[in-house]
Amino acid sequence: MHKKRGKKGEILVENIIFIVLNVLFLAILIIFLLNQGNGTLLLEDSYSKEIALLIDSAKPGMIMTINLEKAKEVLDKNGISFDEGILIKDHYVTVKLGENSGKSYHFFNDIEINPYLEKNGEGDFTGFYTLTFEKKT
Amino acid sequence: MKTQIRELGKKGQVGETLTWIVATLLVIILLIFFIFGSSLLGKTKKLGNTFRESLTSSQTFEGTDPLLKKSLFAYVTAGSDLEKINLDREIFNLANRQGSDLDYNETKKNMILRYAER
Amino acid sequence: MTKKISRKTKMNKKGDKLLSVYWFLILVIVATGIVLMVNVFYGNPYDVREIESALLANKVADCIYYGGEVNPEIFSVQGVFKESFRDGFMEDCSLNFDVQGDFVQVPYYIEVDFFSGINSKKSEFNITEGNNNLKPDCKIEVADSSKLAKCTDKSFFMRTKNGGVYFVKLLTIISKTNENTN
Repeated sequence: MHKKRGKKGEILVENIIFIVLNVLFLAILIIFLLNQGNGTLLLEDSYSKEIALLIDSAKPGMIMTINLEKAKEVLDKNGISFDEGILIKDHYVTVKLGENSGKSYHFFNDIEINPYLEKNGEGDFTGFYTLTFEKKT
Repeated sequence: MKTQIRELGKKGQVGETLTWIVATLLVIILLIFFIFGSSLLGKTKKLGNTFRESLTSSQTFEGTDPLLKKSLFAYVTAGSDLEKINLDREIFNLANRQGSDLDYNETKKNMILRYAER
Repeated sequence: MTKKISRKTKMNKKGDKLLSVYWFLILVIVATGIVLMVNVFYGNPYDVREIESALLANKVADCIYYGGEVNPEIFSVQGVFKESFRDGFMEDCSLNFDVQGDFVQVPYYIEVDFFSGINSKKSEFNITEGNNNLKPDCKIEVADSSKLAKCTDKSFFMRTKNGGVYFVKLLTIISKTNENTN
């Protein structure tokens, strides 16, 4: 009789450990998958190309405001300032969201670009990036 | 009796192991299939000209092909009816080749409305 | 009877432990598979060359003919094509193909042909800029063309101040395979 009770207790603990390990495993997998979708490399690739194509389609006199809040979140997480994360120079758009990463994309439009990073009342960047275009002199 | 039980027990063990081997093989085959599918899907991350303006609002109609509008401007400002007929035919054929034939009639109507007085 | 039961329970316990090991082995295999799938999918960059090529074609077209007016730099007063337009094409149309890197090839090519009239087959004036080695990529037909340059063929009709009609053919090619493919 005692032996039977002991066996029931062992089965319950074993099953609980088994289920907990499975749930832990699934949780780690789901977190990993979600992180991949918002990954630094993916965002760098898409933002550098998006900004380059917007510049290519721009005409003098245009003003474009781009929402880069997602990029700002990643930059804040990696301890990089928003104004250092995006650079437009020598016909290249460079988006650098991590210490050891970065993507550059060339644009063919020979136009004068004046970038402006919006700030809120407290002097912090809002994540909105405004580009003003003028004809090159 | 004892030998019967032993035999029954062994059949049960062999059954379980075989089931797991088959299951493992099936899982591996399915995974290979899905990995291959992901690689194909990954290659389709192409961004083409999928954006289309709405064709229902006559006030804000822009058309999807700016070059079609350029050609239709040449049509609208044609000097003679013969030139108009020739241009109409050639521009329509061009729109067909470039895939903007669906926009053709709507764009032509808007260009005529906008520029006929010129 | 009691002896038979105890043997069966002992056998079942061994099976349970083996099952746990197999179960986690399957989990590890499935997890590895999922990680591989995710890396294969997200590892591929976006390919924006089709849009980029179309944007380049539209920019050149707008440079030549915009708002019903032909660029005054193209024709002389007598209605003849100006060579200076061909020479200063990149500057007039605000284009820049200079890429960084010592042995990096220019990843762009533009070809513009002007045909007089509606049905003319002979090009009267031709402008080419960029890397003409990309041109053969437009004619190659393969199953997987992702490693080839992307070509856009566009044409339109334009009316000059004198009332004449020209058929303009544009060919724009974008290479940039390193940034857009794996």
